[in-house]
Amino acid sequence: MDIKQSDKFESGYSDEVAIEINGLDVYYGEEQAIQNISLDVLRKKVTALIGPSGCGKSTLLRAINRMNDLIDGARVEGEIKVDGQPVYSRDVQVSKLRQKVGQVFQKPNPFPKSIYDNIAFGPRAYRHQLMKSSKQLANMVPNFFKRDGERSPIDGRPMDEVVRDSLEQAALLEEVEDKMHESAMDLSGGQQQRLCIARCLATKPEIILMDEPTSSLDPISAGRIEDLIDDLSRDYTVLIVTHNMQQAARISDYTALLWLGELIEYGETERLFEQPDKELTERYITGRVG
Amino acid sequence: MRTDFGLLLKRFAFSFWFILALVSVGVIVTLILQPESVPDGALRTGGTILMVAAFATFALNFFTTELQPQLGQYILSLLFLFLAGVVLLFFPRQGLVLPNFEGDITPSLVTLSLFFIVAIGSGWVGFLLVKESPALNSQAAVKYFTALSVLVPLAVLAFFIAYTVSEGSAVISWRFISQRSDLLRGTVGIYPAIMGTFWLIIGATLFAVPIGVGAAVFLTEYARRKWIKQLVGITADCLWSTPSIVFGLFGYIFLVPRITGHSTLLAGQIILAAMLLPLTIATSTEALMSVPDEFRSGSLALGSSKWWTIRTVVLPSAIPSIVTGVLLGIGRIAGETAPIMLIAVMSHTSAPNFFSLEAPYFHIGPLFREIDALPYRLYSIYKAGVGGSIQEAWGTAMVLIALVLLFYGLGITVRSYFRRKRGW
Ligand SMILES: Nc1ncnc2c1ncn2[C@@H]1O[C@H](COP(=O)(O)OP(=O)(O)OP(=O)(O)O)[C@@H](O)[C@H]1O
Ligand SMILES: [Mg+2]
Repeated sequence: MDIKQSDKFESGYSDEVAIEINGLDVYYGEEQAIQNISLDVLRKKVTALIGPSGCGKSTLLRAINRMNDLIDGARVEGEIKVDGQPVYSRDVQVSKLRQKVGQVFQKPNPFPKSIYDNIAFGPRAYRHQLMKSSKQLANMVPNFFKRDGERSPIDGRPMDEVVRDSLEQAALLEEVEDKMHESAMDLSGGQQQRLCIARCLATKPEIILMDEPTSSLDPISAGRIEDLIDDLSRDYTVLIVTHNMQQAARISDYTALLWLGELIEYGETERLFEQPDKELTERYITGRVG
Repeated sequence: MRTDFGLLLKRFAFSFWFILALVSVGVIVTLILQPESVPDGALRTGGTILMVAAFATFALNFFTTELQPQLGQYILSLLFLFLAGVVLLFFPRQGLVLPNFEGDITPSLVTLSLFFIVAIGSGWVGFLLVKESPALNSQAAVKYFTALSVLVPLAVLAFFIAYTVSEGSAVISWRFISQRSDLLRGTVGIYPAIMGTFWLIIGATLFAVPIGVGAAVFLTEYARRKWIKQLVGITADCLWSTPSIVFGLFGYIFLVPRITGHSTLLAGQIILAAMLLPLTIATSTEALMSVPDEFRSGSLALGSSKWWTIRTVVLPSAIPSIVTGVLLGIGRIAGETAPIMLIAVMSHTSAPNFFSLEAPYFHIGPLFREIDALPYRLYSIYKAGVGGSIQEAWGTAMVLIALVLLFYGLGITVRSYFRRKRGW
C-alpha cells in the first residue's frame, strides 16, 4: 500500500485511518511551529516521526491529544480527526479524547503512588468524569472500601484484573508482581517507563503517542521498550517520536520526516529509508544534515 | 628571620590557649559539681580573661596574616568564646548580669559588648584568614565554618531547653498540668492554660489552612496573570511582617464588639488564623510550585480533569511541605501573647470544655467565653505576679515548649508518611 502525504484516502479506506491530519498549523504566540501539515496515521501500525530538534515533532504529537491546550499562547488551526471525529470541535470531551489517545512521555513520570494506584489511576479518573457527567446511581457509588470489588468503569472488569493485564501487556508483571503496593518511584528508569506504558494501556486507548520514550534509558531497557512497541502494534496504533534513525527503521511501519515545522516526506519506512523521494530525506537519514 | 618570630608567637599563643582550655574546663566542671563554691566575681573575671585572650590571639593573627593560621586554632578560639559567653552570662545563679542602662557604662556592659565584638570580629577575621590561606584546603575551610554555623543554633536550642527544664522541672507534676490554680483550695495548676492554647491552635489551624491552601491552589494552578500572584504574594508578606499587637488591636476594636463584646476564644482563633494565613499561603504556593509538571501532564494525558489532577496528584505531593510550613506558623502563634491578651484571655478562667457525656455531647459555648493561655499565663506570673512563684513560670514555659514540640512531632509524622510515599 502506498500512501502519499496530503493525499486523502477514499471513503472506503477511512477504516484504516486512525488519525487524519489536514492542513495543520500550530503557533506559539507569534511563532509558527507547525506549517500546513497533512498526514494520515494508519490503524494498528507503528508510525515514526523523525526530524531534527525543534522541528515540531512534540508539538504535532501534543496537538493530537490536545495537550497543547495546556500551553499558554499555543494555538491550533486546521483539522485533526481521530476515528473520523474532529478533535478540535466544541462538543469533544477532552478527557474522553485523552483516554482514547494515550501518551507516553520522554522522561518516565510515574506518580508518587504505589504501582497498583499508578495503573488504576486512569480508570479512576474516568470514573470521576462519569460521576460528573452521568446521573446513574451505579456510577456515583465509589467502591473504595472494598478494593477487591473495585471495577474499572471503562470496560467493567475488576480493577485487579485490569492492573495485572496492563502490566502483563507492558511486560512488567513478572518484575513487580509481589510489590504492587510499593511505591512506583523505587523502580528503575526502564521499569518506570514500562509502568507508564501500562498505565496508559489501563484506560483502553486505541492510539498511543510516544515522545522519545527511550531516550532517557539505557540500551537494554530501550531494547525492551522497542520489543514492547512491536507487540503493542498488534492491538494499538502507535505514533512515536524518535531521534534514533535505527530505532525508527527497526520498529516502525511508516515514517514521517519533519523539517522546520513542515512535513518533508511520509511513507513506508522501508521505502523511505532505502529510496527516499526527497534529497533532504536522504541527507537527513544518512546523517549529512541536522 | 621574620618567620621564626612568627612561629614563636604562634607557639606562645597556642600554649596560652592550651593552658586556658585546661583552666576553663576545670572551672566549668567545678561549676557543674559545686556551683556555690565559685563566687560570681571570680567567674566574671575568668570569663573576661578568656575573652581578652581570645581577642588578643585574634588580633595577633590579624596582624601577621602571612603566618598561615591553623584552622583548628580558629575553631578552638570560637569554642572558647562560646564557653566564655556561657560562663559570663548564664552561670551566676542570681540571675543575668545585665547592664545598667540608667547609669554609667558598667563593667558588665563593657564585657557584654566586648563579647559580641570579639565574637563577630573573630569569626569574620578567622574566615578571611582561612579563606585566603593557601596552605589550607579552602573546601575544607568552608566545610568547617558551615559546620560551625550548624553548631550554634543547635547549642542555643539545647541550652534553652536544658535551662527551661532544669528550672521548671521542679514544679512539673501530674497535678500541675491537670488542675487549675485555686487560691481557696490551695491548688496550683495550668490545665486551663494548656487547653486554652490547644484550642487556640486547633481553631486557628482549622480556619487558616483550608483558606491558605485554597488560595495557593488558585494561584499556582489556575491564575494566569502574573500580577495576581504578585499582589497576593506582597499582601501575604505584609501580613506576615505586621506586628502581632496590631492584629490584637484590630481584633479588639473590630472583632470583639461584633462577637460578644468581651474576650472570647473564637476571637483569638480568628485573629491567630489571620496571623497564620500568610505563611500558609506562602509555603503552600511554594510547595505546589515545586511539584514537577510531569505529574500534571501525566495525569491530564490519562484523561483526568484538572481538579482530579490537583486532588490526587498535586496536593498529595505537596502536603509534606505544606505541613512543614503550617507547623512553623503554629510554632509562632502558639507563643503569641500580645494579640490574645486583648481579645481572648482572662486569668484564672476554667478550661474550655466542648464535649460532654450527655446529649448533645458537643457544645459551642466555650467558643464564646474567655480562656487562659500558656504564654499569657507565663507573662502574668512573671510580670504581673499573678499566681505563683517564678518556678511556676518556668514550669509553664516548659509545658509550652512541650506543646509546640508535640505539634512538631505530629507534623513530622505526617510529613515522613507522605515522603515515604513520594520519593522523587
Ligand atoms: N511551550 C512552548 N512555548 C513556546 N514555544 C515552544 C514551546 N514548545 C515548543 N516551542 C517551539 O516550537 C518549536 C517546535 O518545538 P518541539 O518541541 O515541537 O520540537 P521537537 O521536534 O519536539 O524537538 P526535540 O526533538 O528537541 O524534542 C520549537 O521552535 C520550539 O522553540
Ligand atoms: Mg520533542
